[in-house]
Amino acid sequence: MNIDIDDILADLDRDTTAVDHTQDNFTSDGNTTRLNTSLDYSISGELNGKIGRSSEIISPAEDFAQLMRCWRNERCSPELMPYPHYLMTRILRRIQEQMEHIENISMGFLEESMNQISHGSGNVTGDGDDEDDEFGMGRGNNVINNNNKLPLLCMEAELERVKFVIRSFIRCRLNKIDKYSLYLKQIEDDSMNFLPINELLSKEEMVYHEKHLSILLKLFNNSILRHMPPELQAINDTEGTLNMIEEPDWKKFVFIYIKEVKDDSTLDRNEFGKPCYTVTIEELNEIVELTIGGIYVMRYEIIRQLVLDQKAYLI
Amino acid sequence: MYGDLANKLVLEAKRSQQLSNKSKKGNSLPMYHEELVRNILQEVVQLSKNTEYLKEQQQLGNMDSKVWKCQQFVMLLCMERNKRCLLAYQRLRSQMLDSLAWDNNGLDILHDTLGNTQDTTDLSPQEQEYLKEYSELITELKSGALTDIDLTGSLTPPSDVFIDVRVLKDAGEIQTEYGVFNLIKDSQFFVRQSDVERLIQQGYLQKIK
Repeated sequence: MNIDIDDILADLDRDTTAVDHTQDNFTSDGNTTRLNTSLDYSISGELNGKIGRSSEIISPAEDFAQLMRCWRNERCSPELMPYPHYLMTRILRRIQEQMEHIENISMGFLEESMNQISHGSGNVTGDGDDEDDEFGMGRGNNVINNNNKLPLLCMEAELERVKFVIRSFIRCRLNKIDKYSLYLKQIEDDSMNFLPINELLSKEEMVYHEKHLSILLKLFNNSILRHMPPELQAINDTEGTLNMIEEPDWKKFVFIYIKEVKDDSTLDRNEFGKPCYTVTIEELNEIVELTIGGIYVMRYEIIRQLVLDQKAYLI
Repeated sequence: MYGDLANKLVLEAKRSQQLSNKSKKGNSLPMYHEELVRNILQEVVQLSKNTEYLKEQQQLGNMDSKVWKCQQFVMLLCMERNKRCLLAYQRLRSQMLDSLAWDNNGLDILHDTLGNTQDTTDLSPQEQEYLKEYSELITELKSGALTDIDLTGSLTPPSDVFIDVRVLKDAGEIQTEYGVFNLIKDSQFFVRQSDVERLIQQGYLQKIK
């Protein structure tokens, strides 16, 4: 007879760590819900005075992974995805901090060499920034003395990479905004919408959208539309033989990867006992099972909700 | 027939699209077909005059209503067709202008936007104005919250930290934000990629594989 003691072991594992890693979850309205660790401990009756810091900060690595996911989704999806406001503010702030940090360190290098020339002493005069970075280059550390440039290089290269991802992400979004500008305008005027426009776009993107549309219309008006008869002067004519508003291609085929989500209510089990989501293709009246961990080619409109709920990723 | 001129214009648009797809970056837009556009617009004016005339005749009552409806409808279709072709042509050109503005704008010196496009005379005056305004818009976007991220920067992912570059054309002393380079023709440098990315985009330097 086997007794399963995994949960007891897990409890023990949790206790031995000094710092516990509570992850903040962003609820849909953007407020952070902090798990109250002390409460947890008192309930379990194991309050040993070692209450770990409930980390205010979501780990940068997690944020970067999130950014990469957003970027991939944006590149593959036919529609404009909602803008990840909180994520982007956090990442942009970190980039700024890291840039200053690198600046400080390289200044430290300079001062160091100056000092060595003038006094011959290897004492670093830091600029009050006593934040040890992950490479352990604190003040007066010998690492600076051998002028080890490697950490600095790594940091700069890393920064370049993060910047590249964001640049590519924003440019991709701007491209879509240009493409669907009239459609977005229509969404704005339509109050019965699922998403307000300021959720969908960032502030800068809103400004860009407005201004670009206005100068484009000016160009069209001055060169062509002015000379048209009045009933043909509209640029967003939906009554004519052709609709002039280009919508995203909802039926576009995309590759998706089904991600594992713990205890999800919409999960079903298939005949082999594997967890899967079921979606219905309406035009064929066919039901498809999407098994966890599988890769499928599907029409975008069918799996749109899964993608927005982050249960499936576009690849 | 009525749509033929517009057809010619669209064919022209198609050709310039293929040209820009095939050729390397730094394409120049072909000339704006002012003549053709003007002729098409004249055609539209002609058509709308015809419809006016038909309306009057209809009100005077010397026309069969079925015939009148048919005539009206065909006229409208012809005008719509012309409008579509003109807009498609103009839209394609504006997209090319946008890519021009993104590609070589704001890299070194923002003023003198039109200095690098020799075809300013090939653009219609409205297009020149549009290009200027769009460049301003991009500059504004870059100076917003995303200052740390150079939006006009390269879209190929950075792979190496240091690269070898060869100087292609003499440029004298160029002051970058990171220091002074003395660019003498055919000299080589071993520099950090992020420093010289802009110079590569401007065509002063060439990366050595």
